Amino acid sequence: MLSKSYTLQTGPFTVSLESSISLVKNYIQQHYSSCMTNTSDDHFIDYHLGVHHGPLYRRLLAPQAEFRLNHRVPFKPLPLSQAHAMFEWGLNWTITSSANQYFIIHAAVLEKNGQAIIISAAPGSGKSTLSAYLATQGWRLLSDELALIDPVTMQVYGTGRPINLKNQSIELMKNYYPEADFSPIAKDTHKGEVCLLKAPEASIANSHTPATPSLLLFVQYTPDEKCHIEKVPPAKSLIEIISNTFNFGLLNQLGFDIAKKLINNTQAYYLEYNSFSLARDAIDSVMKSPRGLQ
Amino acid sequence: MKLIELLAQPQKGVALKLKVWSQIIREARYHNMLAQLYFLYQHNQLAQQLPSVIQATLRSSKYPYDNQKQQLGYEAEKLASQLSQINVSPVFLKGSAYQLLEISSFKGRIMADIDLLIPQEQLVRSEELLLKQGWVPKQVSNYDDKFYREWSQEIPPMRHSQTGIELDVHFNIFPIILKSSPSPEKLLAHAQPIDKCPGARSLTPAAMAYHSAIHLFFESEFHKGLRDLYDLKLLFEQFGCDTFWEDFIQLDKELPHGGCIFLALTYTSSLLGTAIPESVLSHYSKYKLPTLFQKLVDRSFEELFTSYYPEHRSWFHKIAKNLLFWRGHLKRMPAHRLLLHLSSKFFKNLSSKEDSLEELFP
Repeated sequence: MLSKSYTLQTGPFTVSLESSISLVKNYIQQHYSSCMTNTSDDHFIDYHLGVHHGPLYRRLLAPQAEFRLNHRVPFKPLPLSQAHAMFEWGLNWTITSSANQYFIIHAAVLEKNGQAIIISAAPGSGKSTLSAYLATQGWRLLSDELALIDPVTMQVYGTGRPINLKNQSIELMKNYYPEADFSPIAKDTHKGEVCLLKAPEASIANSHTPATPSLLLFVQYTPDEKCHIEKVPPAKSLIEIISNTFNFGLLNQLGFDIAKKLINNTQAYYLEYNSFSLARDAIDSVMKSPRGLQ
Repeated sequence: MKLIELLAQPQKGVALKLKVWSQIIREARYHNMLAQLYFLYQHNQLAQQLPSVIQATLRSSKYPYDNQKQQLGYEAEKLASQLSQINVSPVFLKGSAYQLLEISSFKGRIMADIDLLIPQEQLVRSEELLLKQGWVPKQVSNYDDKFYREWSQEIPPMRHSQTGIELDVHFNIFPIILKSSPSPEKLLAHAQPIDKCPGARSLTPAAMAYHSAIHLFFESEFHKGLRDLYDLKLLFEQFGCDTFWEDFIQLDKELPHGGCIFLALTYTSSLLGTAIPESVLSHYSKYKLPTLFQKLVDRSFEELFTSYYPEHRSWFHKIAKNLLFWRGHLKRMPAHRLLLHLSSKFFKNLSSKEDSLEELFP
């Protein structure tokens, strides 16, 4: 199969991807169509990735996809049907393990009027789903996975990449997004069923534009709670941020300084919800009142 | 443009296009040398002249290095103090020595493990102590254990059960199976205490460079070749005063394998632009091989040192790799032994699942 290469602009990074797998090629053409950059320019490329077929004998029995980073294979291969998801996971891993010019929080980021909310939560608590919903309600999605804080400007960057929907969230979001934005479903992954939802055009077009963090939100989807929001004391939100930051320990003193600044510059809330619209209203009212809800 | 050219002449990087820098950064990442590149530009005060995206990318590699340095430094100090309680004064070798000595030009050098030299008669009690302190020996077959202890120069590698740091304990400099292998006392006579780390010793500068050269040119695989050759450049440039070179010539009278030293001097000078005094070069040139043979060796090493990165490899790469693979093994083992070893490994591997060239030699 013919190998194709793409140069993608994703947030502050330029990534080159080479793939011989048609699932990946179709996925990139559909989901990253607005991220392609002109390779003839004198451009710095941050990372060189590849997603390729496994060995030939495997292709006949149980076909596999292999992720490559800079001529090395950092992970074991996955079933071919997960190749597009593997590219996303591989790119996340690449960024979190080497982009130490940023303070990298495992969190979603959305922006309105230059003000950003950073939504941090344990996996499975509805972070991506809520972000996908808010992105249809006037918020610009910067990322549903990685919040990149610049240590000097304290601005937050996202990557404007597709949203990771899992299991039931996939059906739920079909009410809000056109069918074409949903990737083929990767079945039986370590996270269950995974579908990648194309980020809204505005997110992609402005993916290199940072925002100022103003709200830290810790969310939990709770089936029997419509909407409950409460303030989180600074010490507690500091601990939450630290435990959700990939390179906190690595950045050492600098990491602590950034975490502290972030806490001082923002309000922090805890949100339990099962209603999208009530959650949206609660977030909007917190953002409007400069000192937050009393 | 190859990474080795910037290591030799960092000022060349100032005028490079971003596209070329992408390739350089890629190659440096491949060799795990990005942090060294960062400190090289800091050290030469050229960093400010680089494009900001390059500065930021180089700087991002500093944090993992700082972290590792702190961790390994702490572990090395602990090892030295624990071993000194049973009257063993370990000699730190290679990367861990450069770090404990705080040689500024070695900033950014990533280490895979801690290397120690412990005299053979102190080995049993040292191993007992290390076991008690949580250092777990790698699981090896009886045959491999015998290979390590009776034929090579080190015991099977150990790994700390909590930190995951690897420890290589050497009891000799050369594989002991070689007839020409001198007793390690000769090199231990050139050990000196490390001021900042009580109980620890390092080799004197000349002996340190001598050992690093022997180590590199006894290798049979060169995935770390560029890093190791660059180490030699840094050692020669850091310490290269008159007394250093006098000691360096003196060592040739005490230790064998001057041929390795000849290669080290030749390649640091030809590939990395290191200035080697004429007198030293002419002293060691007696180890030059017959012209044709030397040319083949030179061409092979040049290929592996300058073009190991997959995109730089030439048609000659595989040949060079194989030639130097066999050269390395024949240096470490007499031919008849090597044949016995390979056939024994071959039959053992028939029954095992994984089989690769690398695993033939633990």
